[in-house]
Amino acid sequence: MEDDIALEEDFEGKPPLSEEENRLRKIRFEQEFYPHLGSLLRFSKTLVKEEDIAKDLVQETFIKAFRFMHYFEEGTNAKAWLFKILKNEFYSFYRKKTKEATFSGYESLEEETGEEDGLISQHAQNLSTEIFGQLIGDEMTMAINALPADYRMTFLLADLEGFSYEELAAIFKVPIGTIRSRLHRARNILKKQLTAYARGMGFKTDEDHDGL
Amino acid sequence: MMDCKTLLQLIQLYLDGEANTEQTELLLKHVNGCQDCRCIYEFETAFRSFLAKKMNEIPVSDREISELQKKISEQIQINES
Repeated sequence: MEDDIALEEDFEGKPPLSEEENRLRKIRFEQEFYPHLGSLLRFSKTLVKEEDIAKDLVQETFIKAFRFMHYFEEGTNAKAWLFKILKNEFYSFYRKKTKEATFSGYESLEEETGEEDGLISQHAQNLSTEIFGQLIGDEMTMAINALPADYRMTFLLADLEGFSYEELAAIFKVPIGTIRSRLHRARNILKKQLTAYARGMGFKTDEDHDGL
Repeated sequence: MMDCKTLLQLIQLYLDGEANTEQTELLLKHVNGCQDCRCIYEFETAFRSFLAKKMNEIPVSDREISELQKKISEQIQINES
């Protein structure tokens, strides 16, 4: 990823750390970064279904975090920084897997439109909460996995990890409006897919009752 | 009185923890007086709870965390030597 390339270039010009500096770096790394290992692993497992790959992505994330730790500003959000690296690791992995050159194809979906909230409204009115209670995790996992990669990552970081719009905008290097738009669209897609699944399983929605 | 379309945007902001005090007050006032919007608000809240609950069911044990930490530390050690 571009971030990594930039970091690599900067790193090459730096003198090596002294033994004492290295010792302190390790202590800081253990205290500030390892406590987030569980969160990153859970997130990674949600992103990729193969456990070994999920763990490899987290491992690479921490190794890079250690390597480039002198770029991390003390007192800033270590968790957000780690997730930013993990996001890049995931993109690299995903790109290799799908052989897609970029994710820019999804950007066209991100234009703010007035229709967005109208669609959410429509679906919200047509759904019954109880229906979702009948669905098991597999359906939801499949629905999440079917989201475009950018939407999936943004949605999971917001809903699973509770990052704010501002933090997400920094992680993805996009405006806050894009984050808001991605979240709305991701949830809207999930609602549509889960509703379609529920109807396929024979559950009735308000839509059926209304004859729409 | 706020219109229903504006409220829909506010619901998302509010549930994302991004609404300010004024927006929160407007939202709650509207929801209390508009049955349609109250239904949507309740649905959105339930939908998010459902998603959060399901996502947190993904198993991550203390053992695998400590094993992974050990593996990372070993790899860092190898990279340094």
